[in-house]
Amino acid sequence: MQAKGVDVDQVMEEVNRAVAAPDTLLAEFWKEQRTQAPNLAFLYPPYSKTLVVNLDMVSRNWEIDPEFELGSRRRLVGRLVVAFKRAARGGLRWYVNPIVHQVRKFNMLVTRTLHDLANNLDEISGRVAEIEKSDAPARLATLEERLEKLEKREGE
Amino acid sequence: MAGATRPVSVIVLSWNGLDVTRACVSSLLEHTSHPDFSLIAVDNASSDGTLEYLRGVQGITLVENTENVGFVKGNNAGIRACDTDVVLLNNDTEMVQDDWLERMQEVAYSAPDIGVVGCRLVNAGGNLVHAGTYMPVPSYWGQEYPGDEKDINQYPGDAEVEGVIFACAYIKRELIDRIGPLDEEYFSYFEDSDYCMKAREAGYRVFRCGSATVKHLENASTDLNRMDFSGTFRRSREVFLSKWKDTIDGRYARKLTWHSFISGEDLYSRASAKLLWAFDRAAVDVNLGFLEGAERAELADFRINDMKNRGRDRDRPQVLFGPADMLERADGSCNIGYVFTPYDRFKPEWVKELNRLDEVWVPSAFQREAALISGVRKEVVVMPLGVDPDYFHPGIKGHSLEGRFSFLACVEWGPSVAWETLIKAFADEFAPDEKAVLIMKVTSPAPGAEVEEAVEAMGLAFDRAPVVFVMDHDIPAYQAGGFYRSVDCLVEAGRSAEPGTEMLEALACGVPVVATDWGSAGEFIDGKAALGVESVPAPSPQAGLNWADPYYGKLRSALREVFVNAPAAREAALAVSESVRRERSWDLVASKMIARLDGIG
Repeated sequence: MQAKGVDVDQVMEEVNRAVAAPDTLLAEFWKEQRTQAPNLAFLYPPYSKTLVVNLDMVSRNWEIDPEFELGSRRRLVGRLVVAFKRAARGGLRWYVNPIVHQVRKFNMLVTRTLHDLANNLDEISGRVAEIEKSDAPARLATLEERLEKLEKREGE
Repeated sequence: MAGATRPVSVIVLSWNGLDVTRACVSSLLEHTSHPDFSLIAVDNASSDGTLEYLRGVQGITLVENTENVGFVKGNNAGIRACDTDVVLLNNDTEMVQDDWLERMQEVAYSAPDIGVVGCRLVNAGGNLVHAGTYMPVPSYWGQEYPGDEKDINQYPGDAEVEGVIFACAYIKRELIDRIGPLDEEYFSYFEDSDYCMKAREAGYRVFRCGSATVKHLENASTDLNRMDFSGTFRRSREVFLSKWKDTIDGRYARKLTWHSFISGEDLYSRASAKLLWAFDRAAVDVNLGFLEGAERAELADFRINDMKNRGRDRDRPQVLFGPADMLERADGSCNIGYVFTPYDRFKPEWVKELNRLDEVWVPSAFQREAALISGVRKEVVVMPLGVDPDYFHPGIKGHSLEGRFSFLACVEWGPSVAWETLIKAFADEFAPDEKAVLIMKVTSPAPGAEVEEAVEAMGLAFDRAPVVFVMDHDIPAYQAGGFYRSVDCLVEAGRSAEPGTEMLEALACGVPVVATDWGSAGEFIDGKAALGVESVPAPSPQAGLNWADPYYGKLRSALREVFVNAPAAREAALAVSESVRRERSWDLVASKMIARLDGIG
C-alpha cells in the first residue's frame, strides 16, 4: 500500500471549501449525534494513515538479526564484557539461530501477506470509488424522477 | 541583468526523436530573449526525419554526423564548431522562461572562478527533478537532487554545487580552453560528473542558477532509440571510478558517527537528514548509526543510505542526537549527547545518563540553563538547530485563502500543547464576520474521534470565526514552507520547552509568529515579527517538573494584535527572514559543530 501524501494546495483547497460551506464537515460517526456545529470542520485524509504507518513499521522490523552489534558502555571493562558476550553467543548459536530462522521466515510471510492484503484493499477501494462515481448520475436521475412523481402527486 | 550579454552558442544534440527535437528547437527560438546567442544543432545520424527537419530550420549551424557517435563526441563536435561560451542542451528540453540564458550567463560571470553553471530542471509533470548532483560514497552512483518534488520554488538561489547534469549546462570557453571538451572515453552518462570534477580540480567552481528553470523530459533519446541504458551506464561508471574514486574518497577531512533517527517525521529525523547533508558538504565522513533498532529500510536519499552502510568505527567521535534516555549506544572515542528537555529541567535519570558522556550539546541557552540547574556536570554547549534556506524562504509558493486572515497551529495532540487555550482564545476573540480562520494541523496519536470529542466538550459558541482541523494529513515534509506561506500567522501555543523549529521555519518564510514566550522559543520573540505570549509555570506529566501554560488573555490579545497589524507584522517577518536564513542555515550549524569537535580534538 502506498503512503499517499497530500499536497499543500490540496489541503488549502479543502480548508477553503470547509470555510465556505455553511454546514459542517464533521466525521460521519459524529454527524449523527450533532447535526449543527457551524464553523467547525474536521478534514480527514483520503486514506487510512494508521494502516500505512503500521505496514511501514512491519516492513521495517520483520527482519530480525541474531548477529546484532555487541557493545558495552563501560569504558574499562567494556572489551571484556563484549568478549564474554561474543563467546556466549558463539556457544548458543546452534540453538538460537535455527529458531531465529523460523521466526524470520514466519515474519516474512506475514509481512508479504499484509502487503498483499493492503494492495488488494487499495485496488478494491479504487474500484468502489470508480463505481460510486459512475453510478452517481444514474442515482441522481432516479431521485429526480421520484421527486417529479411526488410533486405531480402533490399537484393532483 | 547587471552586465552586458556575451556571445554564446547553444548546442542541441539529436539522435532521432523528431517530436522532442522540434519542440526543443522551436521553444528555444521562441523563448530565448538573449540578444547574442546562436544555435548549433548536432545530429547523430537520425533516421526519423529529424535531420531533414533541422536542415530546414533557418539561421542555425548544423553539424551532421554520419553515425551515432554518442552524447560526448556529438557535443564535442558542437563545442569545436564555435569559439564562444557554450550551453549544452539536450534535445528533450523545452524553455519555459525567456531570460533563462541571460540568467545562467550572469551567474557564470558573477565570479571569475565559476566555470560551469546548471539550472533547475522540471520534468514533464512540472516536478523539480534537478537542482544539482552529488556522488554518494561508497555506492558511487551519481544522483540528482531533489529527485522528484513538486515545484514549490525550492532552490531559488545561485549556489555552488558538487555537480550539474549536462541536459542544460553553461560552460565558459576559458574553461574549455583550459581542460578541453568532454572526455571521449565516455559514450553517454557520467561525462558531466567527470567534467565537473575536472573543472573543480582546475580551480573552477560549479554553480546552480536558481532563477533559471528548464523543462527536461529525461532520457528521451535513450527511450526513443531503445538504447541499452544499463550497459552504457555501467561502462561509464567504471570509467568514472577508474579516474575519480581516489579523489572522491580523499575529499573527507574529518570523521564522525551520528547516532539518531532518520526515517520518521519527528524533529530528530528531519534535523538529522539536513545536518548529515551539511556535514557531507563540509567534507565530514559521517557514519550513521541509530539510537534504537536499525533503520534498514532504504530511503529515497542515496547519500544518507550510503552513510548507513559505511560500517562502525569506534575510533571517531560520536554525537547522539535524541531523547536523553536513549543514549546507551555511546561507544566512540568521544561521546556527545545532543539533547533537549520539554520541561524546566532534565529528569534525574537523564542527568545521570548525560554525566556518563564526554560533553552535552543543547539547542538553546534556555536548555543549557536547564541542564546546569538539573545537575549536568559535563561541559554544556549551545548548538542551535537550523533551517534549510532552500525550502524555507519568502519565495516558496503558498496558497492563501482569499479575503481571510488565517492562523495556523501545528499541533501534536496531547498535553504538550495548550490547544484548548488556543481554540478558546481564538473563538472568543474573533466574530464570524471578521474574516479570520484558525487552521489546526493536528497529528493525533489516536484516531480523530478523540480530537472531535475533546473539541465538542469545549462547548464553543456558535457565533464565532471558523476553526478547521486538518487531521493527520501526510503533507510531505519538504512542503512545510508552502503551508506557512499559505497563512498569515503561525501560532505556537506550546507548553513544552522544545526547540521552536517550526517557528524558525515560519520566520525564514517571512511569516509572523505568535508563540508562548518560554523555553527555546523565547529567543526568537522580538515583539514585531514574533509576538510572545506570557505564560505561567504549570505542572507537567513528569512529577516535580514544570512547563508553561500560556495565558488565555495574553494569547487573545496577541492574536488580535497580529490580525490588526497584519501588514506591519508581515513586513517585520520579511525583514527577519533574511537574517534567519543566513544565520541559522544548516551549513552554519554544521560548521559550528565541526569547530567544536575540532576543539575537543
